[in-house]
Amino acid sequence: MNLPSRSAGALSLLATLAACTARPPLPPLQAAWRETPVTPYRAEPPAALSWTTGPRWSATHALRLRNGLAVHLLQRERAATHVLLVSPSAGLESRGHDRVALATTRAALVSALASGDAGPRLDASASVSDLGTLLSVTGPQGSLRPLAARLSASLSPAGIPDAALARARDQLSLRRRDDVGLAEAMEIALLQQLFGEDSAAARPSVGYSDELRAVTLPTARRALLSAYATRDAALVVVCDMAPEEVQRILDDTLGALTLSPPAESDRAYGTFPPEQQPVVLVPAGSPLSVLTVACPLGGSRGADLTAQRAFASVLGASLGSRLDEVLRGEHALIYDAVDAEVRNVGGQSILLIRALPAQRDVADTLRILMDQFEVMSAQGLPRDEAERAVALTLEQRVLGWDSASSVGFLVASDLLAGVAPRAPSIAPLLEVTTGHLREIAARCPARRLAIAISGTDRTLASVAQPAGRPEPRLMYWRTPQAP
Amino acid sequence: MKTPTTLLLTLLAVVATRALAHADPPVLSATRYTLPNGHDVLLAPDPSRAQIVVRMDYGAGLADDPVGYPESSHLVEHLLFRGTRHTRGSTTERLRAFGVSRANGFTEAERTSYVTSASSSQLLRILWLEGDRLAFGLDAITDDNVSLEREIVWREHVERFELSPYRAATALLHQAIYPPGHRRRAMASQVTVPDTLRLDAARWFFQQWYAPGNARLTVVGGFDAAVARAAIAQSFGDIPARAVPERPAPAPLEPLGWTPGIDLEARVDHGLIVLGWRTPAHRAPGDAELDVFRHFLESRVEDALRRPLRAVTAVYAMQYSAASGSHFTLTIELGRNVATNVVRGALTRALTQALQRCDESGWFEAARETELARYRHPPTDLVDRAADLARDRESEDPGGYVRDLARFTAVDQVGTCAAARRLLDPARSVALRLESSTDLNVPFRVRGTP
Repeated sequence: MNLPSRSAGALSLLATLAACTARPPLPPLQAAWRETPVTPYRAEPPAALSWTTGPRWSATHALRLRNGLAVHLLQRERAATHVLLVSPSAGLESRGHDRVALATTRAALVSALASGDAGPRLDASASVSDLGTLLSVTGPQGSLRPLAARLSASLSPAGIPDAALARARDQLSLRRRDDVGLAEAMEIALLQQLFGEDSAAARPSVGYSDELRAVTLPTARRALLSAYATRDAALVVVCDMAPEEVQRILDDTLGALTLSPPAESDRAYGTFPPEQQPVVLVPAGSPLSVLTVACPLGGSRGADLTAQRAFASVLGASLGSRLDEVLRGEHALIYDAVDAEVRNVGGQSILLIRALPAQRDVADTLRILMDQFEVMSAQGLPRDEAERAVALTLEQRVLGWDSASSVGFLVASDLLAGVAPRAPSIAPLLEVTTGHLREIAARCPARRLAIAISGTDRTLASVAQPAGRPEPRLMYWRTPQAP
Repeated sequence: MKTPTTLLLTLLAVVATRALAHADPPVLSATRYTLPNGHDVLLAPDPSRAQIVVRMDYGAGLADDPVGYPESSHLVEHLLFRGTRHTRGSTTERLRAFGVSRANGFTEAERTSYVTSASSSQLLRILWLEGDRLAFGLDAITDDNVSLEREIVWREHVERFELSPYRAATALLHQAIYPPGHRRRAMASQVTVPDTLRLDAARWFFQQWYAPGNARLTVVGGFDAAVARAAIAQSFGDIPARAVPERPAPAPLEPLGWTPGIDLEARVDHGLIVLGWRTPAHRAPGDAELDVFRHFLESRVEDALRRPLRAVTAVYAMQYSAASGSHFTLTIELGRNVATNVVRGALTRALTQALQRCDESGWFEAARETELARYRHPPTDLVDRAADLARDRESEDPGGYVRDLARFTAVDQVGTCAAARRLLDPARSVALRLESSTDLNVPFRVRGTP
């Protein structure tokens, strides 16, 4: 059979008939099956290894350079050199007005850092959020001096060469930065509903291709100086060097930079609305719906944040999590695991849940999901589930330390979120109790959930409006295009 | 080179700014060896990590299903999570007890893979579980388990290939691009009914293909190689060797000699036009050139269609490369309820213009740099790193990083444009049109050839 000629239904029927009437015999096996002997080793699983193979942390140090730049040094045995520049002034929240120049500058910086003619090979990358930009540079073990020198040169007034800007424009244009994927768009739609359309949370994170091409070298350099080399910036350094040596190298290089005043925030976030929200419906034709649910968990500080993360791990993102068990195991409504994470938006913790049911299963999935939240908020979590959540979060946290760059990002992200940088430690997790988790669960009764659903017209029409909510609000997947 | 993925994943993809420097050879310390029973092992320890990924690949998949019993390979993959002789309960439960939060199985055209991520402390236990799966997996293939998993496999199949118009369109495209009997055509899968998912076929598949000589174990992350070697010898060394059928090397695919068309209508909001071409096998001449050219093509077609014609919402150019043959697709996603004939002519013109303007300066280095960046270093994510290492079973330089880097640095603009003009001839493509329709009673309907 080459191509089906008329309809899939007819094909399916034909195949059914064919299967029921004639089935070819199985061919002979190439080789006879031979049993494996059962040894004592095979009969019982071996014991876990002790934690001896992983890397070791030496210490965490807070340093300050001669120009006032704060440095958080994480010493780690055998680590490659990772330096992260944390730039709160380069966040989308505060830089709504010139985000296009910022995006181009960011790409040009990355390009300049990675393409220096001398010195070791460096990797550079940048990620941007509402709260700031993390610029990451990685080099081999022992490469802190050339790395810091190149970073310092790139952050100076003439730091972006014309060629780097041209490369940045080409790359951004080739990568179609103005294309927002459905999953990201659903989150934007939800946050737009919650915080208002003018909020930084509600806008795409980068400019459009044609705007990017219009950015000039002077614009990019201005953006560089006002957004990155600022007094509110900080460095996170992960390497295998003594703090005194790190201080000396960084003072010689990045300590010589002149820092600009921090940027004023030009747009503020709203606060998470306390009243019930309309369900946001986003028309999209993909075979699976993206069902996104958000719940406000409160501030993002201290032990509460740890408990919030543990609560998220109860719900999803792991084998055997509650929503995974119910939606996949019990009801077979989804095939991929449920995502669950705690996101900091404008200083608040928002629990974000994402599931991908088939279009026809959206209504059932939403009903079960809301039932689960209702039960948890009223009854808390069973002790074994809470204990497992803590154990799992502990495991994840340990895995989070796995790579030196991951730890650097963890600490840098905390800095951007306004959380005091933590030494890699399991102590806060051990303080999380079943009672604390019950308290977190009580913050998310079904009526407090914000809901966004993507789907075909038929799917969206099938979703019953939860009782007491305003009429659903229709939004569109694609953000408005630049003129 | 692009690994197989789905349109949905493409739609959900998020990009990040990243650039990498000089073309120095990457440092990837990997050791490959073979146990006396033929079991292939690849170890890539990374002392800076506290996590491991254990990946077991069996060199058989949907293309090796016995005739008349499609998806037997997929059924076996599911059954082997039901628990083998010594797991006491399901393998999934046992993994959970070991504190493993990420474990999955994948059945593709030419292989079946089991991937587990865990903290390094669990290395011996994961190897033990995989050893039990290969040695005593037959114990999991029982009537009771088959009756449980048959419906799940059937539902997955229906979901993926019959209820999902986009995936169905992809399957039809595969059928048009790859000739009958070609191994990659198996990804399109056959129309299945649950009745063909049978115990005897599953047992046959396991006994035929789950042999040490057809398996590769890849371990990456933070572990001691000596400890791993000893545990691997204990877990896999005494599994009896068995012969696996020889499969002849596939003949190179000739480019299509005509333009077949596929016309579909589907109950979706966004219509699609997809042009598909047969392209050279992974690492054959022309493969790397098209990987670079796709960036230029995507950008120029988008410039020509997306902004001037608001009817177009996205443009994707992708190449799906494999040792047995590859294909290249250019996909245009239309706006809500826009008919394909609105952009059809403009698409052909845009493609032709992109091929003509390939010699323009200013795009090539950036496009090649984007591809090179994918190969300069092993991926940070250990799951991705294990996948890269396991991908090329024939490679003597595990993962093929060095060779992949070399082939991209050797590519130049003249050769790229020549390859693109030779291999992406609009007159030798498959043209698939998927029209949006809201009044169908079935998810999609094949309307025939235009």
